Amino acid sequence: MREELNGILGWVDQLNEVDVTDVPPMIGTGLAMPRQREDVVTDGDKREAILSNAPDRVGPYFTVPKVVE
Amino acid sequence: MSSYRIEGNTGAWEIVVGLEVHAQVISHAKLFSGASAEYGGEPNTHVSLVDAGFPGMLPVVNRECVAQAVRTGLGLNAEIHLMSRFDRKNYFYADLPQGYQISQFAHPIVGEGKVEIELADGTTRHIGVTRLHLEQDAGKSMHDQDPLRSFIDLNRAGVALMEIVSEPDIRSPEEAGAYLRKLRQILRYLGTCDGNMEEGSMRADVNVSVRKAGEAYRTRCEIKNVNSIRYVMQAIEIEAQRQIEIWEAGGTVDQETRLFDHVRGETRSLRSKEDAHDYRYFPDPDLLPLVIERDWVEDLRAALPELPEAKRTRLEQTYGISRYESGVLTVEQGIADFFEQVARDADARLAVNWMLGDFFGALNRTGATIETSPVSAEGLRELLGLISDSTINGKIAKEVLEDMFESGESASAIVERKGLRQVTDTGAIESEIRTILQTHADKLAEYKSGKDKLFGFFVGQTMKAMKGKANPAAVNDLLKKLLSE
Repeated sequence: MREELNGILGWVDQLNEVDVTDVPPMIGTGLAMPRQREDVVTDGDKREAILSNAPDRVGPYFTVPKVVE
Repeated sequence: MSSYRIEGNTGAWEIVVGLEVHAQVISHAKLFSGASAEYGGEPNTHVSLVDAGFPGMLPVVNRECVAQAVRTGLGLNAEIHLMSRFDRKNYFYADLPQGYQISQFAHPIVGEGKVEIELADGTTRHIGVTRLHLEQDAGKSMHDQDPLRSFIDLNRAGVALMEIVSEPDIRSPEEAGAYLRKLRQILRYLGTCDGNMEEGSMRADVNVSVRKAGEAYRTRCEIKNVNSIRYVMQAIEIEAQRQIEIWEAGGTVDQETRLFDHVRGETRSLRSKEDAHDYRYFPDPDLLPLVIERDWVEDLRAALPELPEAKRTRLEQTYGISRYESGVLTVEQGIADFFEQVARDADARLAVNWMLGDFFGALNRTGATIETSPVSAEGLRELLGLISDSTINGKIAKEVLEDMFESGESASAIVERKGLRQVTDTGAIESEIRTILQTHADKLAEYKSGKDKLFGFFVGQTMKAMKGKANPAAVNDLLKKLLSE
């Protein structure tokens, strides 16, 4: 068991031999342009849906335990 | 370099200030959803399922908000990054339903730029801009509605903000005020933020530290969410004083976030300062890197309005006005436009004097702004035309302007209604003067014996007798002639 673990750690150590100084971190494979929306109001006015899962509410507001003294 | 110093027991201290300004982007919809970005509205009605952080909802960036950030970057002479990225800034608070704010951390859309400020003594300085990035606003918490609960309204959650970070280049409260006023003026000219600090559409976090001349920076404190330029200036002074007292007593200033209490005139500790790693920033996997095209940036640049500095210089050259006058006239675009309508192809000197004098005076008195002024640019232009062509004199014109503000009538209508036409008929003026010289024979004798100051008395009497309508130049000339007879 110990031998196997040491083998794995040794293998991981090998990764440190690669110089990645100037390689930017890879954050994904998507190179497509992101979709963008036009500046038009297309949503909103659905208060009941928005509040439907609220554990607690008063009238049109969500309520939470007081967060300031 | 500013010479502002605070005297402590151990000598003079210099202050070092950097500002982070949050400017709400002018747009119809929010940064990542189609909900309205309009201020106000019934609670929780300008909210989409994206803004409320419902599971599975995906953000889609609003192109106009990106354009507004680019315009602002161009207005700040800053570099525009054709590739930027959105990151998640994680923190837990009731008005942030997603549990993270979508912001730009490692790769902002706008890089280094600069703002030129002008101080009271006429000197100018450049304040560096480190970066500008796009991020979401949070919702609003209300703590005074219920003894045990806070109320949450998400109307503002997801509205686009620009965070504009300055270099620690500011060295006095005055410079901080000048920087904020200049930044607000540029944003308003660009139409990218209304700069309304009372409604919270522009707020500042103020980083303050103190040091002895020539030293490296000492620990700074951040004063959060200061919502007026005056308070920013006060907070800097008070916080610097507090830090100096700590250093001079042998203590050390802790890096922390503080709150400015303008009623008590003090800053109070809010929490120890978070570092970037406390927020566990990472690239938002819901959003691809934001890539914009160079051509599009150039199109936006070509469509930028004339900015304050350029407008100032042009007004000075076109109308021959002073640096001070051009500064006042370009504080707002509306004022500059108004002035140009009044002064175009007319007597520019007369237009400046009247706008900065009686016209602004009347606006202040009636509580109107340039946009709500009861007297239009065309109306003022007509009035000044009546002075230029000698229909009325300057003194009568003041009376007419007041009447215009009250009645809303045109200058010529008022002149006709009240019979205010200037008397330039020298015969009429001369006979009036002769009568006055007879009635005041004693004064005439004194004048002749060398009391020159009485000249003004005779002018006054003549104008009074003619109900102010005499041509002042004609009165002067005739008086001189008749008194020397």
